[in-house]
Amino acid sequence: MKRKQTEFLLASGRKVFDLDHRKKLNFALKQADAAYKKGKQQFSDLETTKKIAKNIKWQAIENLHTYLEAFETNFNRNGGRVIWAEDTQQALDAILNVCRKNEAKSIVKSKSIVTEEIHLNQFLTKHHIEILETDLGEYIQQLDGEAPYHIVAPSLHKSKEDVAQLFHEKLNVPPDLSPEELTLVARNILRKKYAAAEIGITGINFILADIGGIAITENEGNAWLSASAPKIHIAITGIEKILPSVHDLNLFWPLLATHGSGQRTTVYNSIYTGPKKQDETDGPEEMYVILLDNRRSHLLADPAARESLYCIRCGACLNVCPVYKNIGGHTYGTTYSGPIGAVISPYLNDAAEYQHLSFASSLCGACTEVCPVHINLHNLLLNNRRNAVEQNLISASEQIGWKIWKKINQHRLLMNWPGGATKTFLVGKLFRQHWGIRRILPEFTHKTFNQFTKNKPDSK
Amino acid sequence: MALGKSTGAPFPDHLQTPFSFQNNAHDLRALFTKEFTALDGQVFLCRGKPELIENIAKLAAEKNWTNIICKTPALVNDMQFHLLPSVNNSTDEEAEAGITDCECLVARTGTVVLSAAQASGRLLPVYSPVHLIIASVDDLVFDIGDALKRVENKYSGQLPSAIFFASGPSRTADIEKRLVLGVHGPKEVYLFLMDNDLKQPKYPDTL
Ligand code: SF4
Repeated sequence: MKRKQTEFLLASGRKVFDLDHRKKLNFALKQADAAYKKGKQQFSDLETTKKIAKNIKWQAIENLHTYLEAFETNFNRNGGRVIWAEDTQQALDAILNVCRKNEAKSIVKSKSIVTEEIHLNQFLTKHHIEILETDLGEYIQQLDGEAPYHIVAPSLHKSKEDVAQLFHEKLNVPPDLSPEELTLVARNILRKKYAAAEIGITGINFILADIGGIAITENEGNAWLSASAPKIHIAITGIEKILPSVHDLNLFWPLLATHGSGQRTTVYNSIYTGPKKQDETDGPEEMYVILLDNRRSHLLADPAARESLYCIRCGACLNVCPVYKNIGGHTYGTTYSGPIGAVISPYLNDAAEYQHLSFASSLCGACTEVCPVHINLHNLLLNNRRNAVEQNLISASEQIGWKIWKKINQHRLLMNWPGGATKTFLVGKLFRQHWGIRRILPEFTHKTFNQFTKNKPDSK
Repeated sequence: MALGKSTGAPFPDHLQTPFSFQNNAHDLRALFTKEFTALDGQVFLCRGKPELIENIAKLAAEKNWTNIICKTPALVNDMQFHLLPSVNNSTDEEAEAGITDCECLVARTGTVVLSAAQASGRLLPVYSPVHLIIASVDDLVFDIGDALKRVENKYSGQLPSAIFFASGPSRTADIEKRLVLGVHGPKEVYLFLMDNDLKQPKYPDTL
């Protein structure tokens, strides 16, 4: 078994039986579910809306090259600069370059899962540049030295007492502050940082090809500040975030709000088209957009998996997933967790190390049902399983097990020959490890199927 | 970028289906007020400049504001804000509130649309602890798409470097899903809505 898989099995075993963890997670996910049910009422026909959305993303991804180039041309004309990064290293080097050129010592950053993907914070810290998370949930996670737990709600697994204790230890404030007071503490600390930072780094929710702009969605205002106060704004994202037109936002903003946080609209939806214009009052002098591939082209190249690039990272499929509900975000050991994470991680990384995630699913289809862009997530999980088998990524012992299983099942005599106890023993030998140590393997009955049907009173 | 075989449209029947929210509202002002209030904003209807100044002065007194910033010359001059005791007598950092105009208002979502092209710029609306917005009923449009068209028309291809759709005060639910207002942006948002007989329509009718 691969290292990642072993870790995954151990960690999920631990998490599933951690009642405290489960209580916090269930509480948060219940709230999310209630909000979603309310928020989606704004769509009179959600099903058709999702189909239209999927068609738009299909069009965008099928013509990705064209739209990205259009974006670059238009964004250049607005005075911005696009940086193409094939992999993590190129993205990191590009950011470091901008930092060096401007002698940047401190950076404010808003929520961006792509910066997690490239481990930006560790990299910049190593180069003695301070990088501060400004989204409250991310700030909490950074204080705790922990990766975000959920792509939309980074500190979802912490209770208010946990956060109060953390602030007390790290920031020297009284130990029993309320959520309101804790928020105020963070606000006051971070205000000073926006003013001092030379660079602001943000994520991107949508790349807008027709106007050469980007759109960012948030509730707190920290992305707005990070993109506006420092003299340089760097926005980074994966190439798949493309939309053909700014007018698609009329659909995609409410869709993302409802599926991300159950709102009709998120508090701040902003469009940035470039650096400060000459006659404008304020804003950054330079703006860069980094477009990261990092093996997304592997997803693009495979027609069977391509639709996973339609993802708008709303997090809804995590919230409804029975596996996620039990093992939580960190257990996956990946940047992207939940169903969409299980689908894309084998493509974005070494497939052998991450294929096991696609097997950790009951294929219930809840993810597919909730996805705002109608991605057939559970089909994609099956697709990954098939790839894993075809590429020989399944453990040798399981392969041998299935070979023997097949052999026996093809011959009635072989099937009838051993008694029930022997069969139970044999299947245990072959599959115990893969079945899971906590699940009880079914036992074979004493009678064979032939005997069973023969003795039935109504079978003549 | 390697695009292998192309895939067919997922839902060919819907390729021509346009998307829009249904506009059943006869009264955009009422719809906006309802939605903006639901998002913890507050609307003051003003029939005339004197009433506007009076409303702001009352609010400022009630809240004990001594420093309000307004960078919009048209507002400072036309609206005679300089008559208010507390406007523009400190720095942005010390101000308790900021006053701006807006690009337009989206009724369906209770949204105030702002841009970097306004004299108030990018920072004042988000940095101020309280945001006061002066708007007119001519600023009302139904949905986000209408607002985008209006901004595009106004700037005819030369879009501002930033366009903001702000719906209510800044909020977070990052600590145990508990709602807290005023994380990084304003904690309170007030909108002063002027009747159109008091202000020249700013835009040709684009709807
Ligand atoms: S796969 Fe669908 S539901 Fe999951 S995060 Fe992406 S868009 Fe949301």
